[in-house]
Amino acid sequence: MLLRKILMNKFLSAFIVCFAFMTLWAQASGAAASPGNTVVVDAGHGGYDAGIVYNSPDGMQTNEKDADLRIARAVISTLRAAGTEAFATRPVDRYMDISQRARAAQAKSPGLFLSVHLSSTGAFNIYVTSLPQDQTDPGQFYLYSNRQRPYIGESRDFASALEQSIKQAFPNVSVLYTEIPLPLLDMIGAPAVMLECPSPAYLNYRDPAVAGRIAQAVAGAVRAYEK
Amino acid sequence: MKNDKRGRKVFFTVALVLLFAGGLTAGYLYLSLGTGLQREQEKPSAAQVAQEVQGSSPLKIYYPVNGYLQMEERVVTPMILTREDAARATVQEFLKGPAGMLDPSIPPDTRLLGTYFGADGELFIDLSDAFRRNFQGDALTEYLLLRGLYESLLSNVSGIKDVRLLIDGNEIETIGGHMLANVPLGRELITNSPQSTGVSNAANGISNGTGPE
Ligand SMILES: [Zn+2]
Repeated sequence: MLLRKILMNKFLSAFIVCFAFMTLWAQASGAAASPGNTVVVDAGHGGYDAGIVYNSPDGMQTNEKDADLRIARAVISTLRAAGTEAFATRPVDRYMDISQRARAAQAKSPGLFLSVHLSSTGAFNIYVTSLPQDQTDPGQFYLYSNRQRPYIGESRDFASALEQSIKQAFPNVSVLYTEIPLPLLDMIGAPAVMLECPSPAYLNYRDPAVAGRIAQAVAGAVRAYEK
Repeated sequence: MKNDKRGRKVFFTVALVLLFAGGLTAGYLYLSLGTGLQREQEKPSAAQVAQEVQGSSPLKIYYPVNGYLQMEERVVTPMILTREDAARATVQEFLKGPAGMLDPSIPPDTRLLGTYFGADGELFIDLSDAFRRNFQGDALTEYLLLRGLYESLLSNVSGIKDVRLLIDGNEIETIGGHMLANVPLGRELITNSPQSTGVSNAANGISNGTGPE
């Protein structure tokens, strides 16, 4: 009787220990295997590539690379504050070529990829890539061009969520959706979108609140997309 | 009685003068407008001009204008005799930009350094560094710049399969940071998307202001 009780207790203790261990392990592996939580944000241009250069009437100059970086940093900190893992391809002002950006993004196994640029006009432009033709061509020129193909539908879904969110945050600004071939997005194995924010002639990127507003809109789109 | 007669005479004289003046004006207007319309209808195309003016050739050039590609016919002299002539003239006309545009998306001060035909039907266009250095624009501007150059060359130079770009004699990765410039342009720019297969309708802004749904 006593023996049975001791054995029962041991079984119970072992079960509880195993259960606790399995729960913790499942939680840990679940987080690692769920790239849906990870957003990679790419700030366009950088280093000697200034992107669009705008000289304002007050004699100040805004370089696209700086505005892109400011917006990307704001997006990353807003997402992190909301508990979403977020990383930058270009955390500082340095030149990166298109393939380097793709490699940096892929290294984080992203669940979403967003490349931030400025537009030449007063509108927000949202781009999804238009995939290249000859996917069976052995002389394929993009090393990674097939990566985006399985995700193109999800990229459009994320673009749609982004469009809605930006329209809500900036009701007086046009938001245009465009599909053209974009090699960086082709190289990403995850839903991938390029966002161009209005030219510095229309938004003052020296004001940190502007990047903050855009970041809130992007974070809203990520939440809506993940739902 | 006498006054009455005199008044009628004056009235008829004035009426006659007015009628004459009206007739003159109407005749003038008829002739000037009529010949103007005739002139408009008879305006020859660039191709007809080229045929009539000995030693000149017509070219179709595709320029990026306000988010679209716009085709313009240009007549160049001297007469194009070889494929090299056609390639050179096409690029030179392309670099001049669209007629009457103050702020074209073609990078200013770009010079054509050379054109070379590869063995496999690829045409190499060597441009000066200003093409990269002076480019200002977003992703669509860069796409339309390269697509316009590609479409212009394919329209005017016979027997080429694709176009490759060199800057100061070297391949470079990108012109404006959005598109690749070190790959055959046709294979990069022409896609299956129904929105971007044609020229007039695609290179075509493609923006419709609505979402993908
Ligand atoms: Zn850009």
